[in-house]
Amino acid sequence: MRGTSRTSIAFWIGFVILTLVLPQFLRTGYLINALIVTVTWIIFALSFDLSAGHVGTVSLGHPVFFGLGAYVTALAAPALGLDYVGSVLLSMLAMGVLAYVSGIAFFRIAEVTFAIGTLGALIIAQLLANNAFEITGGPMCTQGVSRPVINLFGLTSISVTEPIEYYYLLLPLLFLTILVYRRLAHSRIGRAFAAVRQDEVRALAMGINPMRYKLLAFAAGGALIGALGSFQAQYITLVCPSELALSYTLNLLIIVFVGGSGSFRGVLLGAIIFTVLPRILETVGNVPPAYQQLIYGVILLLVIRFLPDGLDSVIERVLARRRGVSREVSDAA
Amino acid sequence: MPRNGAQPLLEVSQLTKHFLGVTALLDVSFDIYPGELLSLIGPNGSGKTTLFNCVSGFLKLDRGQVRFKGEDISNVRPDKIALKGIRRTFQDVRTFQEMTVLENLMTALQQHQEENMIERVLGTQRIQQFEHAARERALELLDMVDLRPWQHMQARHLAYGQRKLLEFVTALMPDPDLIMLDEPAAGVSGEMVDRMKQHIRALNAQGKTILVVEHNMRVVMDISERIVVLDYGRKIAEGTPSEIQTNELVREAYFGH
Repeated sequence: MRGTSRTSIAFWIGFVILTLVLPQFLRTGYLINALIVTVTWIIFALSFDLSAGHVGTVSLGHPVFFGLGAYVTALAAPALGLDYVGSVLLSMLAMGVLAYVSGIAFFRIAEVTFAIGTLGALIIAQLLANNAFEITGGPMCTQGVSRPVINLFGLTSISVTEPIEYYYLLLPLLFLTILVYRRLAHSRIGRAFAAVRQDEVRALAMGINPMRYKLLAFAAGGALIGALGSFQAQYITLVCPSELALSYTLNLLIIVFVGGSGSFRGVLLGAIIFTVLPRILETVGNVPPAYQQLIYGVILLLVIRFLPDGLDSVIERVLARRRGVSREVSDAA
Repeated sequence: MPRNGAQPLLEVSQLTKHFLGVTALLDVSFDIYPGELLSLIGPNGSGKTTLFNCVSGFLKLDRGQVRFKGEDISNVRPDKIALKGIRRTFQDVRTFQEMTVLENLMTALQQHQEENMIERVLGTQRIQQFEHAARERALELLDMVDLRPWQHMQARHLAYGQRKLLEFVTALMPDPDLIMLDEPAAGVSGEMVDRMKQHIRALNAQGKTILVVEHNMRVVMDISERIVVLDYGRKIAEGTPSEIQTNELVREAYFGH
């Protein structure tokens, strides 16, 4: 047990260093932008997986927190005179509260209707964004969202414009998301999550209130995605109703279930494959987008058919075998 | 039976439950005293499991009252009842299949209500001490039922009888005041029935209060101090095993009119 924790510390130090130095090797704005997209989907998918993979409540409406989080920053932050940190915190808080309150309603309905209900919420949110023309600009989008400014104790301020600066701006949110994900998943709370996912009735008999843990995962995920939406608004400097798209939900489902739900490594893998593969297909293989969709479809089918627990299950099996071997060796010694 | 005027641990009074016009329980009353082992028997469909579910909060009562340590717990949520010190097992063995045997036990320990969510997220030293103590207790219980060699194995890989033992010790994990066992000897081999019987007896000898629903008459007559008999949702008899064995109403209920 101690040995693994030492390797895991080494892993995390390596991970942090890698994320810090990686953009230094990617010289072009195109590649750094690609990296930002990858990190965005890692944050998005981990937040989604807190509910879908750990508590077992698969919502189809998670992009609501992304899109509305972006709108909150675009519309409310300037009025309140907030800088980057302030606007991210505002979107985070607003979406955390929204997730918590809507969760109370959604989790009261049965499982199948839960998926449909959250899907309905997403469609309604998009309709509202499209039609509240005076507020959101409708399909013309909310334009001219100001670029991030960070106030340093009112003394001086830093404005962010370059992709590489944006990347370093996004990193703290990635670290926060991973921290929250790990702490929630690998603790007493994580066991309660798993209990609720595997058998709600038995969880109740052990003194676990399923509602409490469903709400915790949903609100934590909603808050993180809200913060991500805030970043996105200030990165693209534009918020459109298309940020509340069902296609985002599909992306989340593909990332999490192809990679491996309920596993940090699996979600990370899924998000990287999902964002890097299209770039490779595009630049190296010269595959037109229509065929790319086909390729994802085939991958999804193959994974679901042959690896129902996702790609991570393969890694897990290999590692387990190696651990088993080393244990036998140490037992023999 | 009252012991030196002791307060009953659990008081069930006039418990009534209907399902769509069918009366599952009608005015059922009985008490359990601290340290007692009481069995609930009756033919299929007599309302035993319904009563279990009403006491543990999984079903709402239509009428009547359940009191635990003098406190009214009628219609209290099942998770809250569990935290008050009543733990139960299920007839159709429920273990968390994807968790390891050890994790199954660790999950059962949720009673540290004094610790808040923030502390849990941060994993403070206090939490780590709780975890350590919980692990020690879990291993002790696994030793008791000889499951320690399987501690890191997922519960789904266990044999049915082993899962039954796992569920049994999981209920003991938080050291509850009242343990409710739903058919502990059902569906297991003869040898396992004997082991189960020994465990239940040993537990009762340590002073634990136990309520058992059981079909296996040999087991019931062997382990019980007192028996309550249900038939068609009504209590038709109550007494010691020998009193129940000679009771005419009970014979009729079991062997027909």
